[in-house]
Amino acid sequence: MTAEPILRVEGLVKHFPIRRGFWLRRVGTVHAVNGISFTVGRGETLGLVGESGSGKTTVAMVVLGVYPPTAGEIWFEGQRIAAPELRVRPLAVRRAVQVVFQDPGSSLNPRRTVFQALELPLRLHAGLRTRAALERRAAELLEMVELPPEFLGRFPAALSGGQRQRVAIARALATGPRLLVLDEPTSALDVSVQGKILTLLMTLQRRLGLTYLLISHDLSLMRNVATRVAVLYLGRVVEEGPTDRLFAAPRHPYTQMLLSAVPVVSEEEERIKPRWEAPVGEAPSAVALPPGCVFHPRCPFAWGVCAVRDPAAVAVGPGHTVRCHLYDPALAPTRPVAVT
Amino acid sequence: MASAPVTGELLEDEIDLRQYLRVLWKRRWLIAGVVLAACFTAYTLTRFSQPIYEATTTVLIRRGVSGLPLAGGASELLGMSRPNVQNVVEILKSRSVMVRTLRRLQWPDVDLEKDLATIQSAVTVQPVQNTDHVRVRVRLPDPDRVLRAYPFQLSGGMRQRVLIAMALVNEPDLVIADEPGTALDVTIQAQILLLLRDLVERQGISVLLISHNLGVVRQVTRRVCVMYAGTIVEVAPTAALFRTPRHPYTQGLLAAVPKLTGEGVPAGIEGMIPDYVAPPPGCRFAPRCPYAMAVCDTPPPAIPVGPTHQAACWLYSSEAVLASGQAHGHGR
Repeated sequence: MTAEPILRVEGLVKHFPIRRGFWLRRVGTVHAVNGISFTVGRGETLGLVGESGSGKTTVAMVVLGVYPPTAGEIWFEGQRIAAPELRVRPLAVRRAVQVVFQDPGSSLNPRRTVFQALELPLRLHAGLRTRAALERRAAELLEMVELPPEFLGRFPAALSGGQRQRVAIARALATGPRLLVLDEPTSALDVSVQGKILTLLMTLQRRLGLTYLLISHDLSLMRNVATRVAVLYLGRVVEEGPTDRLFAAPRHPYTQMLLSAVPVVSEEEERIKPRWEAPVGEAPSAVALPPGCVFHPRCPFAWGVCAVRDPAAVAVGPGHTVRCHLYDPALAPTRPVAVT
Repeated sequence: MASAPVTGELLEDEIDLRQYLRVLWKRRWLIAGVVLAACFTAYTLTRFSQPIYEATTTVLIRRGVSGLPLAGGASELLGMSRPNVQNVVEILKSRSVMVRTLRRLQWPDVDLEKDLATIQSAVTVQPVQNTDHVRVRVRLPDPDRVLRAYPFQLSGGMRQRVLIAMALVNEPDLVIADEPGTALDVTIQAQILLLLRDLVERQGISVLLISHNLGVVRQVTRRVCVMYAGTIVEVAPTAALFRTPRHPYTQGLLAAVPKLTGEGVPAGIEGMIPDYVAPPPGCRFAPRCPYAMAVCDTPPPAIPVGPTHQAACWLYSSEAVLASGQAHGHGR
């Protein structure tokens, strides 16, 4: 692993105010992200896993510069690109960090042809001007995503889901990015197509030296695509580590619950899932966060300190950290239940 | 016309009463008609103690199809669609004479009064007073709050539980669950699916589950029908289907799912779904099938490949395989 990670997120906090009434008074706050820190090495794929309300999409949006953080900083290639006071992001950075969204049906403008969709970033960011140069480069981009140049004249409605997503990927690549945020890139696609899009993304990563920030709720996908995984719950990273280690020995109770709930298709997979009672309850709203450890109301192992103190990150293996009092050696004497 | 023409000078002056009365007399029949119409309208309006919306509110609970909104009753009330039996009963029960009259005028071939007894005995319509089933059977947490809430006030999982409760209101024999877990988080989906399976096992309700998620199907069902492009390609007990999938499409599907065991990114299935306007003759999967043979141009029958396991694939007909020699690569 090289020295400087390509992306460093430190203490990221993002809160959204809730405003009601004619005067738009602030009546509450959505605590979407509450202190998230992680790094992504060059060429890696970091998976952000979590259910709705975990804050994973918000993290991605802040990384992309859609929102400024409420607190915390983001560093990209050694340069500070996000902080509460930074409002404008340099063009060079905006070109280097791009995104592929979940639903290509809505992320592609239905009234623009494939060529027109690619033309805009090529004009603005690659500085191409002549029709010939634009068409040539657009055809090259389509070739990179394994689409023939004839597709340039088509509208998204004439394409299948998988083809549309390929166009969305081509569009993201048009600016020559180094970091790609992938927000559930295959969730809206059929099973038989998901594998092809993922293979394409992996191939592109190798060929172009890309780094991926992959957001998904699909753990089976993460297992096969991500190099490291961070599990999010209510705006905090509860566990983070190398993929195979995290899946082989999940430490945090929430990670175990998540894994036990994954519907799998084979007995081998059933055997490696953690044993867990049926999942209980639902994640509380991000407006009213539980005190102490945010997971304690649903945690079968919770005891006294869990309702009082937010756990600090503890290392449980090389590169593998957990935020849970169960793994805090200083608290071992007070712990009522043994940890396997 | 009036003997004195209406000139500009006359309009500027005060209106001459005699002129005015003369004009009215001239139009006496028109005025009489307007007055009569006004009286008639006033009369019918006073007979209407509660107008049209009373009739529509009574068409809320319909046997076997709970949860469908007022739109059904409303369109029939407006005469836009043929009435079904229940609606007829409800409308008859309505106190509005006007509405009953309208109905007779619009459906002359339906003798409502005469068949009322038959209709009423065929249908039992009861408003739902007893909410036990949502509390006990569906185990809705915090049922009082949920029953009074609007959908936007509930979380996704809660809404799904409400939908299940709605489906069970009239104690159906069959529940069709169309992608019940798709919009939900994994942990909530697991709870909902366990609930569905529990309903089947404990209460003997049959469930037809439609899903694209193979893991969900494996977890919840006992028998599976795999469909492709409008045809059923394989039918089997769940365990058998996942252990030994026979049809090439089923095999391809299972191979296309990423596994928790970490075997890497799956390959997916080559090709695309067929054009439904001009589908392939014979087996619809043949253009994408790695084992396609010449005989696949004719539709394959459902061939038994196990005691309760069938696959619609020529590979399992020994005659067909022998007749075409070796199976060869993609399509033709």
